[in-house]
Amino acid sequence: MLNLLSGFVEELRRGGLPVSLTEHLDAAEAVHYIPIEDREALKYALGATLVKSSSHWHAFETTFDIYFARGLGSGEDGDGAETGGDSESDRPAGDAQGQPGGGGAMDQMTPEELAAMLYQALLDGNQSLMRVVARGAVSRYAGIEKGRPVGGTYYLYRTLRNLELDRVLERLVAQARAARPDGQDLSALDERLLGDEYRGRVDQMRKAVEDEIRRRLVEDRGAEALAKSVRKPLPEDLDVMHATRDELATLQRALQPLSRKLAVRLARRRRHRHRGPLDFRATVRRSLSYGGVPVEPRFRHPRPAKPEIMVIADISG
Amino acid sequence: MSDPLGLGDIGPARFESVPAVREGLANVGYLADEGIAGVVYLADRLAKPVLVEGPAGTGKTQLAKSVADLTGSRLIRLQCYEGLDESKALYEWNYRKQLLRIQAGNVSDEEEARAGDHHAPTWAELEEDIFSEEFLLTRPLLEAIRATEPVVLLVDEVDRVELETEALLLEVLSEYQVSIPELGTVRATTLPMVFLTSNNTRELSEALKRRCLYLHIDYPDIDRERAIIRHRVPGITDELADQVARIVRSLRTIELRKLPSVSETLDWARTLVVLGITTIDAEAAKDSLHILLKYQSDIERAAKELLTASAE
Repeated sequence: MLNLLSGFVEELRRGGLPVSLTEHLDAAEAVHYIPIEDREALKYALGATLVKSSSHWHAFETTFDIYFARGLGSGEDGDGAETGGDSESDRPAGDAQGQPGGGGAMDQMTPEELAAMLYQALLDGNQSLMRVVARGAVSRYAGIEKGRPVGGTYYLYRTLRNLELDRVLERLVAQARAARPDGQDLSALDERLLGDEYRGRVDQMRKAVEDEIRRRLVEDRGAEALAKSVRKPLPEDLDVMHATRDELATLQRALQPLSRKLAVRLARRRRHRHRGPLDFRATVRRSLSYGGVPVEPRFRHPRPAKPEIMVIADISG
Repeated sequence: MSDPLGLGDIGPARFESVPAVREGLANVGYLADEGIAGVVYLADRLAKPVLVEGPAGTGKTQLAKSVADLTGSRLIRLQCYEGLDESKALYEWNYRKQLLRIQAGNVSDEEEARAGDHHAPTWAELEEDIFSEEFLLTRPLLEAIRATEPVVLLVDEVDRVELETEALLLEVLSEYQVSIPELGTVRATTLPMVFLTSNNTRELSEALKRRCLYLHIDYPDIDRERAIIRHRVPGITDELADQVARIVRSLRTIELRKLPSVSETLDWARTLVVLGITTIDAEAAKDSLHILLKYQSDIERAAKELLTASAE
């Protein structure tokens, strides 16, 4: 366990997260208090001790999934058992564990059956059924080749293209519209809410497929090798020219609080130096040399308010 | 178990297990998710402070209060603000009382001199006297350290203090002790549970972060939010709670200047209950959006997005 943890911390550092020795020690101690079979608890324990910034959480999560998906085993087994029970399929729990990409009742399913199950899973928001569908879909569509040093993006693309989630989404919304008993149209508000609901489920489905592919790749090539291929830059070191849409959204979120932080800091510094208010005219004049961009703000000299003195003199005598 | 911090006994465990924490918090009215409960449990076991970050109104401060409730401890709160210094956070000498003591000493000495057995207090005696605990004014941090009963220390909005003041906290947080030059070092007899909250208006120092467990509380997912609404708003129907939670979730996907927080959601739900609305239709939503959103531009935008058509 300690070796696994060390490897995990190494990988986080290679990914650019600042993990100090103290934090590593804390994590090692924290693991003592967490029941080892509880994967979620382990994740939060490691997260609380190792990750000290919310923008790093995503990178942590990805690495965690790679290192502890199979490493501890039991979490995955638990999932399998639960899945089997819920979907009333009689598949043994450890099935997918042993043979990546092969075997299992799931693979004999026709695409139509798979599509029907997917529809049902999304309609009910049934998480375990989603995982079953993800397993089946990956076996059928992804065509994972063993030993190829890839990060799985291509497999993900292949699987999702065949699942046609967008079309399923449309069908779901149409179905909801048709299901109105009195035949009248859904109000705009209801429609919007339903749309968001289903979109959330489709995202869950996408994530299930992603997890499944990642799990198989880890089985194939081991955690360390895979971690290397899926390593992504943190939001702060992102290459803007080559960023995907999701990455740009993350970037946007990371940037949003920055302006507030900057404002706070500037205000603080200004108060600190006892400078006066902004001198607008001087700033504009100064900005001419920068093409009209107010690079260097000018401030008025502080003018402490003069105390008013009143003299009351009694000159009657 | 080795003792890396040299803290001695960290005391009996306050909680049995993570599920126990979760259940306990639910009993005092705080619905925690797995992550929150796990971190609270670990904070107790590792004797480490918890740094709680997250958007405003997601229950960061409430968490500390609820933990205090749950463990039956006293809550000591240090509200941070710009310009907070040692004398407000740690301790201060009661200057006036010291002055009185010196004057009183002189008076009694004169009487004694008249009586015949004159004994002027030497400077050393006097110094020892006026720098004793009697003249010490404890402020929240010292109070939490000196407390003999179990306490929960809440350092609220720690990002508001200057970087230099932040360093004050370090000794308290990592060693659970306070050094007073005239008195020596005061160590904690029972370790307090410490929560620091931050609204992320500036980056906290590495040194501070390293000493804490980090907990990021985000907006809750829909199931938890629904449960929170049902729990905190008396007299709400399940149907209405569900609708409120769903509308709020949709609102959070829109780009707004200020997203609706949990506390605003609760306010909204309470309003709807008071107004006697059982199902939210477009009109009702539009009329009460101003409780949920705090900017006029946000309200207009949300009304447009929610009520005109389904999403793009």
